[in-house]
Amino acid sequence: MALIELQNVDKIYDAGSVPVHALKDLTLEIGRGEFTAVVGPSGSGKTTMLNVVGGLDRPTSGTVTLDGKEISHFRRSELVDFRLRHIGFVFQAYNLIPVLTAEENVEFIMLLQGRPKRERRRVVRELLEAVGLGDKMTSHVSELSGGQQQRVAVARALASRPSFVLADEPTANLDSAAASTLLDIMEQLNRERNMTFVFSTHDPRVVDRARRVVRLVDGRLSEDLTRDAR
Amino acid sequence: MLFQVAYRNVLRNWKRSLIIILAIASGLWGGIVASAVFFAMTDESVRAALDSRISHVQIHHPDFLESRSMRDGMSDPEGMLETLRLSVRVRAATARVVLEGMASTAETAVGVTIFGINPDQEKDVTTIASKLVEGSYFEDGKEHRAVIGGELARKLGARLRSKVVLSTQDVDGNIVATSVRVVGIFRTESTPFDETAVFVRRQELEKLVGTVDFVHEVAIVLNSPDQLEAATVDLQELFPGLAVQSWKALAPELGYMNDFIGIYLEVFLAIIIFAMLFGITNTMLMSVLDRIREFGVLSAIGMKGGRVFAMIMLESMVLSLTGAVLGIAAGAGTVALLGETGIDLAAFAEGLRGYGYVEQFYPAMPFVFYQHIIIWVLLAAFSASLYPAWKAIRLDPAQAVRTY
Repeated sequence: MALIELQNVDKIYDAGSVPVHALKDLTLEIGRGEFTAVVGPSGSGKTTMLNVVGGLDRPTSGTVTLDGKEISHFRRSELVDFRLRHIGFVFQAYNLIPVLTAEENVEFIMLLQGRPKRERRRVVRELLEAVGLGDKMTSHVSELSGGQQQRVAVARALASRPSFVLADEPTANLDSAAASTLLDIMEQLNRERNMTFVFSTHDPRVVDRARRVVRLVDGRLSEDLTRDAR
Repeated sequence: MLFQVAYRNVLRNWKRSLIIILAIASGLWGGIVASAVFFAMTDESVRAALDSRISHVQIHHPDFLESRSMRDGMSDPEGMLETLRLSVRVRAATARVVLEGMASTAETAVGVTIFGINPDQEKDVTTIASKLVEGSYFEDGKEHRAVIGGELARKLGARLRSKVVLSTQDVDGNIVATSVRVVGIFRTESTPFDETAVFVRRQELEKLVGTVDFVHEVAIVLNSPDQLEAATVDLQELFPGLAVQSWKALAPELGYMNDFIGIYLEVFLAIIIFAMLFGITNTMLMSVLDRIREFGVLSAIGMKGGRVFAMIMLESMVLSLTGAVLGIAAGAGTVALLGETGIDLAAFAEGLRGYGYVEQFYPAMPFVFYQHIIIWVLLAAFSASLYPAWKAIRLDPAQAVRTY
């Protein structure tokens, strides 16, 4: 069974008088442990697809099944809870909580899950060390570089023990070295923990590392290639 | 951690937070000081009126307060006083003859109320003896002596040792008059009282009008003024045929002042805090609108609406309570200082006395009001967080993260 399954998904935004058809009859399956990049030109529907997969947006029609659960008709609060327990997010602009330290940012999501303090402390240390920030645990977000903040964001995404991680343009704001480090870490997490990553990206560095590349054009799936096929 | 996030968010834009904290603190400071001044002024004025004129309970013939007739009196005052002395409710009591009459000097004549009193008993019941601004309180032991109000003296053109003719009706309705010498001039907090009150010895007044042991008023000071209603009921049982009335019935305007001062202050403070509510709401709304992306992210990663609401409410509480603690500390400090030094409004004494207010008083604020302020502030903080929290909860996380 696929971890992420989109069946005939359409997404239409009512943007004023002209509706925008962002996703058109999209059918796609992503399996557990995949390292997938969603690519395409601006306006092709990459972010919309990630939002739909992430339960941040509902499809206009079609079904979205995540880890065996059809979420298209979930209530708002059910979606929030589902996101908390099943999906990790990494955003382009890091989007950490600026008033918290690196460790508090990672711990925060586990606090929302109601996990015990001892476990939270252990996981925080383990994850921040895994992303190479064991020595920055008590640093405030503002004291970290962009690359370091994005690594904290990856640690935060993993802290909730998600079924998969969605990363929207994760390297867009990073220089080459930081982007490379981040991709190394995510590849390692994918390999060692069998964590599923789905990226939307324009960045060829990410595309090069992806084992599967899904190309969207005008909201439609135009290409779906594995590394071997590329 | 929600609390940590809340207070760090308050510190995050410290200038904005400081402004609203200072606004809350200064508003409460002003409200507390003004309330304490108003409370003390009213409380002390009521107390002064009771001490100098009214006492706690009075007994009259049932028709006297309506008719003011000399015939509507009570016999056997000494027996009444003896009965009162045996009551555990009563600290002191005095019997008075009260007659409407005229005071005349060579210059003019003024309508007055003549009180025939026993000076020794009266000292235990009223504070007139301590309100003398000139002369003494029937201390020379001679007959035909009078103690009069300062305003009355001014109207009559009388001074200490001036002769004043008092005229009234005797028991048969005839006009009778006597000449008295002014030996004391008093000044209370009430100009109307000072304009009309003349005190003479009771026996002399009884002799003038042809009565013996026949008084119109028995004034009583209670051991426990806070048990006024119960004491009034008890005393009424002792004198079933007479009208036993508490000061609240005798001077309803003072009763209202006393009963409603608490409500006035609560309403006054509530209005101040209500005004603050808009300031706090504005600050919280600005704080939420500044952080739309952040709330979008929090929703995206799985923070439920209830927790978002709790976080915003905690921020509102941190802001409001910090301001409240500062405001209460400053207010309580100022009230304590003014309570020591007192406020002297001698410059406005004429006007204040016209309304029965004391000119010097010591601001105080009952502790319960501070507790109520905290409750009001907490309610305001909660209310102020509702709209901003609703805005934050209703955010579309995808749009918030993408757009802001």
